[in-house]
Amino acid sequence: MAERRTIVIDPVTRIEGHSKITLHLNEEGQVYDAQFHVTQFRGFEKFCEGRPFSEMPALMARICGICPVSHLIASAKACDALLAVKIPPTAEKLRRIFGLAQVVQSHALSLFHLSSPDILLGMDADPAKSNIFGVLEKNPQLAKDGIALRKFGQQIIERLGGKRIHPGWVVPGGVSDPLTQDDRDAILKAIPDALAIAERSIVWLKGTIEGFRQEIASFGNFPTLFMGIVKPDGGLTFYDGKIRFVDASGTLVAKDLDPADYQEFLGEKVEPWSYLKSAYYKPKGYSEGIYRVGPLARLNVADRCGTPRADQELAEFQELQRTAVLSSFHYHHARLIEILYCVERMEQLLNDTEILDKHVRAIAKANALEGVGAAEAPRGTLFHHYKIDEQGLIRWANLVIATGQNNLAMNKSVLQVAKHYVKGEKITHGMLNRVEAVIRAYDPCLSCSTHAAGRMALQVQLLSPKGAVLDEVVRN
Amino acid sequence: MLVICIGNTLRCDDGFAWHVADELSPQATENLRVLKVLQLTPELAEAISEVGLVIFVDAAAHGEPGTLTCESITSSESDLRYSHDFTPATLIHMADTLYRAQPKAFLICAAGKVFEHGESLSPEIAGAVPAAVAKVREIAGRA
Repeated sequence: MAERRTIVIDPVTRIEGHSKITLHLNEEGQVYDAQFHVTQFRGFEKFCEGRPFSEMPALMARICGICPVSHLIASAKACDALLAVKIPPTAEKLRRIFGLAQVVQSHALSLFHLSSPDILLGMDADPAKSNIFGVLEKNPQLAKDGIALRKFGQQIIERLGGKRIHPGWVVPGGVSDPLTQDDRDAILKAIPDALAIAERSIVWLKGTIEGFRQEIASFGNFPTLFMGIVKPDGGLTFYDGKIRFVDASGTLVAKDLDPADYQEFLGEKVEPWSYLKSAYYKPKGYSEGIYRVGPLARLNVADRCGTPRADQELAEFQELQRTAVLSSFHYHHARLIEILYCVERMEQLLNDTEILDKHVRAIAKANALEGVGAAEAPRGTLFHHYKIDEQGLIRWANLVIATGQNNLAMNKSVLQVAKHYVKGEKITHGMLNRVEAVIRAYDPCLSCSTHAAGRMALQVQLLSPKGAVLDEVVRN
Repeated sequence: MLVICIGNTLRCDDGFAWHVADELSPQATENLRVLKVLQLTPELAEAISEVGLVIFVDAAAHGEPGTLTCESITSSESDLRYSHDFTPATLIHMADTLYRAQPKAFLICAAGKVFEHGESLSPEIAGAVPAAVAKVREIAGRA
């Protein structure tokens, strides 16, 4: 009698953080279940208790080395709510530029350094070449462009925040220092090159899509809700606005939701096999309330980008499907459109007549005991929610992270891909790489979402129910 | 010349290279650039391509605490698949492949003793800071 078997991919490579995937096979060797486990635990919400709330932005930025700016911004916005102040307009614009710069560098890392080997070299490429060096050989210009875009974003962060990683410039009430004319001019000077890279990268990606029909059909291509923050006019934003949900047909399910009320419409469930919580849309319950966030979701919920070139690309993107764009493979495409938008939008903001204004911080003491801050991080909507005591010390904190909000969709995507590609007893690289690649499409940040570091080797074992190793692949 | 100091000052001796950077930074000029980094990332390849000499400074997890080593680095196309794990040799390879630059490269390492949470250096590795600074200057002087 044939045995049921399990395939374990541990850890998943080329993502931010540590995870593993378990695939359960039936007697016929067909995948019948799949789980994406996040195996690291960090506990930021707990150990910040007792700290002064004014320390929170700097503390929360330490959650992640890739998107510290998003945590800074969401945390500072929660602190703004505690202060009960309206921050100076220039401070808000500077925070926007800061956030946009981070989206550019984070998206560039995801697409050019982590996922481009799959797209450029193909899902079945030799594992020894399926990495950034394979990209260097096959398309050095693409590798250079990735480096240049990362540098562009990081240099803006460094100019504004004083350093590239964990800058402390965003503070409760605004930002600590105004923008200098020299820095403004230097950033503006770099814009044309960044725009040119974004443009040619989109052309490159669109030219490759035809070769991935099967992946597009099977990489998280199923109905879900999509959630994102939009401007009052329905435009794309990364900083502030109201929450909108659309369903798979692209129809509005909810709009004008106040991010501060997130607990009314978002639920979180803990599964025993992962440290990553699974978020769902409460009115539909768990797990019918599955929704996606991040680039794909933002472009599905927004009516427009609001910048000329990004709007042209959005119009083309929306033609991929008459409904909402469902395949998670298109996260890559959406990411590039967002890079284009971010660069265009930064140029608009830097040319704003108020951008060099010296008044960039509102000073106040705590005027409220509870505050919520929300922003669009590169990977999706991010919520920081704090409660303080009369002394201004944190008594309770809750963070709802983008990767957790995509958790249900990532699990379902892994199952869909595995069912499509994993068959039989022998493990092949192409088969497993596709299972990993669908996770990479979401660009999960597990350091963020579990609120690790280390060398990530890949070990895949095909086990019998009694634990005997039937097949094993190890890559170091 | 570029000096890339790698480390994490919140992990005791792992912050060694940043202390070396603090000693070197006052002498930074157009011809001597000192960078403090938490880890090696691909974009450093571009900065490396712009100089004729690059020196990496780092703490080592193994060896007699305080022992200083210096080795020449050559380009290596290792089987690298993780963005978080670039080595000096792979960055030199990137600089060569992408920018046709082949700077001379050295890695100066001091063996650490304590890598727990904390901001101070152990006496052993603290004692190696002046020697590392002197080694950087010696290599620069020869170039």
